[in-house]
Amino acid sequence: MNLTIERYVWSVDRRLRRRADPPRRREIRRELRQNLEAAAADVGPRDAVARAGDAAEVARDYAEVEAGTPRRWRPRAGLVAAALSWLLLALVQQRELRLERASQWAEFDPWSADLWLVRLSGDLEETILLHVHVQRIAYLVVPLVAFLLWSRAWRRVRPAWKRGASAV
Amino acid sequence: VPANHHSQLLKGVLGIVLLRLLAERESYGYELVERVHEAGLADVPDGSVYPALGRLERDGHVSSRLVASPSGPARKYYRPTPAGRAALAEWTRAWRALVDVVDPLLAAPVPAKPKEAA
Repeated sequence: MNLTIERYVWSVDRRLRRRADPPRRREIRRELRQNLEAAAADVGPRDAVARAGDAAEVARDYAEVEAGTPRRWRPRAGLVAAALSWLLLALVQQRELRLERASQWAEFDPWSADLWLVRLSGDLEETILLHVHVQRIAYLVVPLVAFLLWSRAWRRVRPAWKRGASAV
Repeated sequence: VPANHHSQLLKGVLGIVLLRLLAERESYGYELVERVHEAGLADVPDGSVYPALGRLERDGHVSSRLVASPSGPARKYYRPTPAGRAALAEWTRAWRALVDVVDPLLAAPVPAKPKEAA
């Protein structure tokens, strides 16, 4: 193992972190390392790395191979994340409305799953207050979690999907 | 020619050059880099050949196999697929057609000053 080569391979790999899936990155690291070592046997590690060119440019070339233009997915992913957040918030709001309705005892459903806290504490007003606090936090947390989940899933699925689309 | 334009030109033809060289003999990454340099394209950075091979493989133009190496880990050797050979023929035709148009255009003498619009 040569440190100059390892630093270069790491430098390329670091830039591919969000642009290629982990198995493919492993493969790229292995192949790049193996080729640089073959070059180093001829010209030495320093020259081998110098001849390979700028690590950022090499990473960009690899990223293009993996997933087309890297910037293109971001607006689409943002739109889907926004739609997902909206859907989750709508579900949360639905629960709030049902709880409010339940607080007007005329529509009280003793078997409602939303009222399990009421059954435990026995105090409807306190339960609703607690629920509203939870709701406020959910308004902040749900979009953030939805976006994180979506972008993580998208990063994993997209390279494979892109490869499939280009093969057709 | 500015370095960036030159490297863009090289990048544009790299795929066809790699396919052509692999059609002669299967090679692994660094070996192919040396062959590209020996062919006269000494300005092609080694680092641009490896992703270009990845692109050819992704597009189904080359296939690869691992071959044990006496001096380290197994090497990945590339060779063109039938689709790659067809692509090579097609790209060669397209390249020649382009050269036929661009070459006479560039070969004509350049006037000292462009003519002014009437």
